Amino acid sequence: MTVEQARPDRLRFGYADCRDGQIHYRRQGTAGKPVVAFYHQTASSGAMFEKVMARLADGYDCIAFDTPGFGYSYEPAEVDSVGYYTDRMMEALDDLGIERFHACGHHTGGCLAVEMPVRYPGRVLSLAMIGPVEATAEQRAEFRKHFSAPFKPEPSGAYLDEAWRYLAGIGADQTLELHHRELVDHLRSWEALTVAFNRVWDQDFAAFHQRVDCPMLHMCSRDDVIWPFYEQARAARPDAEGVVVTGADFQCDVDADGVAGGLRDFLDRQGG
Amino acid sequence: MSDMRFGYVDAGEGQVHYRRLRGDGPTLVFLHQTASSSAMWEAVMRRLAGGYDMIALDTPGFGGSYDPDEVPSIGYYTGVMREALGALGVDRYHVCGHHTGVCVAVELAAEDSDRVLSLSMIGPVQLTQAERDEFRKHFSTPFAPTADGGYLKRTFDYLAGLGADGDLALHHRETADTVRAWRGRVQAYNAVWDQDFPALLARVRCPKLMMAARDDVLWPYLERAAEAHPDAVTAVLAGANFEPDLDPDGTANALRDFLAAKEA
Repeated sequence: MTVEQARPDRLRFGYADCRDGQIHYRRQGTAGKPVVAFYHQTASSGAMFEKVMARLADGYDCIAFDTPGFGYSYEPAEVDSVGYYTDRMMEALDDLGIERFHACGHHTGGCLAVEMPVRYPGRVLSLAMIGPVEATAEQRAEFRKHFSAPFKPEPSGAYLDEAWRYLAGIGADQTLELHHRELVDHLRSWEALTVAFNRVWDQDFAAFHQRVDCPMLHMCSRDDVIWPFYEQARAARPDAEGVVVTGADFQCDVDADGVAGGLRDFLDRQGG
Repeated sequence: MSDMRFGYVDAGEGQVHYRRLRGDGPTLVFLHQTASSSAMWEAVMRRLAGGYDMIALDTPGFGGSYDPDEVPSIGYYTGVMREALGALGVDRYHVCGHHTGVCVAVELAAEDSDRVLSLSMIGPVQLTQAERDEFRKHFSTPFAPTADGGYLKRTFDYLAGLGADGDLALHHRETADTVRAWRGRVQAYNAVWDQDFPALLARVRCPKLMMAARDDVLWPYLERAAEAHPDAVTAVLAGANFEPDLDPDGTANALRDFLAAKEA
C-alpha cells in the first residue's frame, strides 16, 4: 500500500491494492478531515474530479479512484456485475486504512457507490450521486442499445473520429482541454467501456437505491443524457436532497463551482 | 494478481510513474522512446522475468509522470531519472534505452560511471549536427489538439509511418500515449536534436550493446556508432521503430546474452 499524506495544496497520485490488482487514485485534501471518495463515470478516470477536489481540499480529504479497467488501474479479467467494482473499491479503501467515508459517484460511479451503504453497512457516512441511474428495465434496455460499444480500434484509424464525435455528443466539446482529456481516457479504456456499460444496464439500481439508509444527495444537470433518471430518483427517494447544476454530462469540469458548492453544503451538515 | 507492479516516486517537480518487475539478480532500468511510455517495455520485461529487478520509468511529460513546464535539455530528464532511481534505492544498475531513452541513458552512463554497469541502446543517436537539424524538421511538429479532432488521425498516420501499424494493439496504445504526451513529445525532440550524442558516448567506459532494426529511422547510425566503438556488442533486431513490441524475443535475447556475458 502507498501512504500519502493529503495536503490541501497538493494533488498526489498513488496505488492501493485490492484482491485482483492495483487501484490507482489521486488524492488532495487535508489529513485528518473526513474522507470523500469519488467514483468516476464511464469511460473517464479520477481526473474528472480534480477541479471539484481542489475546491473541497481545505475541509476534506478527497480521494478519486480509477475503476478497474480505467485510468491507471489494473485490467480485470472478468467483471460479472457492478458489484465487482464495488467490492474492489472497498478493498482499496481497506488498504488505505479508511473505515468510514462519504461516497460521491458520477453516473457509473454512482451505480457502484449505491451498493456500498447497502452491502457494507456502517461504512458510508453519506452518498452523493451526480446523475443517479434510476431507470426502469425498459429504459435500461433502450440505453443499452446506445451506450455499449461506441467505437473500437481498427486499422484505418476512423475509430478515433468516432470516439471524438461520441464525446462531443455527450457534451465533452464544451472545452477543447476537456474533450482532449476525455479522449485520452476513452482510448485507454475502450474495452472496459463496453464492459462497464453492460454491467450498468444489468444492475437493478432502483432496488439498491431504495435500501440506502445514509443521508443522500442527488445532483444532475438538465442537459445530462440521464436527466430523466434524476427526476425518477427524486421521486423514488423524496427524502434525499437535490441540487441542479449545469455542464451536460461533465458537470464536475464545466460547473465545478456548482458541484463543489452543492457537495460542500451537503457534506458540511453530515459530520464525519 | 500480476507480478508487474506500478508506482510513483518523487523526483524533479512532481511524481515519476514506473512499472517494476522484481526478480533475482541485478537491477535493469528501461527508458522509453518519444512519445511512448514504460508500457513499451512490458513484453521484454516479461521475457526477462526472474533474472533481474527491472524498472521501467515514464519520462516527465509522458505516461503517468508529471508534466514539466520546461525541458531545457536532455540533462533535465537525466537529472530526474537519477533522482528517481536514488529515491527507489537503486545503487548500481544496467540501463537500456530506446531512441530518446538512449539519449538519457548515455548521460547516466557517462556521468555516473560508478553506478551504471552497462549501457544498452536501441537506436544509438550517432548523428552529426547537420543530420540532427534535418531530423528536427520532421520530428518537431506538434500534434496539438484541434476542435475538429483531426489531430488524432494525424497522430495515428504518423505512427503508422514509423511502423506501429505492424500490430493494431500496438498502434492503438502508441496513439493513446502520443496523444496524451503531445506537449512532452515536442519538449523531448527539441532536447534530443540539441544533444551532442557522439561526444557523450565517447565518454562511456562501461560495456555497451547497440541494437536497431533495419527499418528503424536510426538504422543508418547503428553502423556508424559501431565503427566509432569497436568494443561494443551489436545486434540486429526487427520491428521498425518498435523493436521491443514487434520483436520482443529478439530484443530480450540480445539483452540477456549481453548481460550474461558481462556477469561471466
